[in-house]
Amino acid sequence: MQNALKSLKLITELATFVFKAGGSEFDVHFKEKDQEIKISIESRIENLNLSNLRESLKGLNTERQSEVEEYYWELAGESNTSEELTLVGMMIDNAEYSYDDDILKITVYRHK
Amino acid sequence: MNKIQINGLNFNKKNEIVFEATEKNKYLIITAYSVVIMIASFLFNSPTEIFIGMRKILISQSLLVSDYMAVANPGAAIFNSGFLMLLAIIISKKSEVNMNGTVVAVIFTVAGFALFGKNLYNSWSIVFGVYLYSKFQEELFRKFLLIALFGTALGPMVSFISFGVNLEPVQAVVLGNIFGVAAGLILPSLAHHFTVFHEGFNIYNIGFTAGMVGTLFMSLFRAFGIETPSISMLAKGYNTELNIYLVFLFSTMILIGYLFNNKSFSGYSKLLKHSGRLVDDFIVTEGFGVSFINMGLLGLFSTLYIYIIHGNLDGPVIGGIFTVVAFGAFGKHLKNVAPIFVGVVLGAFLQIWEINSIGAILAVLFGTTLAPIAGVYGWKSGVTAGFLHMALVMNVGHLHGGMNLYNNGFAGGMVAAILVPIISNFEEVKNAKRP
Repeated sequence: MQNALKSLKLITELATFVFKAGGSEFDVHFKEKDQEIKISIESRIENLNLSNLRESLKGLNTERQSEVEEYYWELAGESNTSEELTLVGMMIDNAEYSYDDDILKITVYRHK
Repeated sequence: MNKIQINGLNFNKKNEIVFEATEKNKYLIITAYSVVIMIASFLFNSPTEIFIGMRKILISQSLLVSDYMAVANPGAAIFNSGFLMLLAIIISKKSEVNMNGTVVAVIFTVAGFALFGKNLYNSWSIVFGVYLYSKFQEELFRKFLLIALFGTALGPMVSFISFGVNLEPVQAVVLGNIFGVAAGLILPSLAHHFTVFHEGFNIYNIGFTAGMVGTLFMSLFRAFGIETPSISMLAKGYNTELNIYLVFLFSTMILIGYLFNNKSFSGYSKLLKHSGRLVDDFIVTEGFGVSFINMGLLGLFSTLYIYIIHGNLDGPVIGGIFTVVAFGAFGKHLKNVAPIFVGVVLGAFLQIWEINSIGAILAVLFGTTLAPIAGVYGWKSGVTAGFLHMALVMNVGHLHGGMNLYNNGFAGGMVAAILVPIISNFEEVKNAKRP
């Protein structure tokens, strides 16, 4: 159950990021496999500054830290400051993002 | 720059040592500090005095405020600090966690509180309780490492039951450790949950959690007619020696940080832009070198403050300084800490406390748990938080009877929980009115 709650927190966090970036409509895709959870969020946002985007999403590349995750995971999605994406990074194993034709797509993978 | 590996040290082509923040090196540096602290203890007292002092520390009730420098002697207190720090490092290493901001923070926090409340006797049962919880959950202990080490804040509860309640000695010791294990068992379920209460604006989150648990246990004790004594044991007269000790520790931190930061201070201004709101790991985001520079600067700043106000340097005060330094790797820097200092000092000045009294000094140092409020909402909010903290922290100690060492974390959680929604709402209205 806690894994499901953590996934919901991750979704909230990614959705918050998209809202802040100017997205007014987005699609979330969630898939749970035996060993892995995959969450994707996609939104049309016009004229995003690429270097700002890269800087904002840098936190997603943070190494997973299970000891931090266990202590702080409930904070994910609780506010709109940039530190949360670092927390997301500490809760996931891999992240991908792209911005083509005004479509921002972020995908995160989390091993159970 | 090409690097050549020789006997574990890295040299560049000019034959200069290259300081790389590898996990091995980071562990080495932090371990070196624990050893230096233990060695420093022998400058204060003889090995025999330290040995006798350590025995006194182990059987002390350790309730707030029990300065181990007064309970035993400065050497024993400092040795206890280095020894527990080393144990925390060994447990972290065995748990295979990286030496990131959170781990550095918890290790130096343990070192600080080992000067006035934590010792080997009262800490192990709490850590063991968390270990049992991990087994019960069929999870690795490393996931709960931070909670286990921070959770030793409730050590005085174990010591008080063991040595402060009128029971047969064996019964008391068994009961004390049972309570310690029980505390360790319940802390993990609560620790992550309480982060939401203050929304990550109280850096000493476990202080709030331990405060709640301590309040629960203390209420039960009082229901059975057991009351904790009011303790205020403080060492006096060691300011000169302790000032030299602290300045040495923090200056070397700046030097080590400088070396690991490519022999520069670059990146420090970027670190100052961090809000500090949980989870803000400076070592992960800005690097080990800059974080160590930050830790050293915070240490010197705090020591200078105590010097300027003619405060007494004792175990709890140095514990407070160590904790400010500890979280220099995880949320605190001069810019978000200064408004809290100003707020608490203003509070002490306008309220009924002397600025250089132990309560006000501890409120200033530990009140920096609220640094993220200044970091996110600006200096005015930080000053307000500090002002309120000064009043609140003097009121909450009674609830847990001095059994929670992180009393300021407990109070800070309340200040943040009350203040942040109010500031946040006003900010939203202000932003909405902007054209």
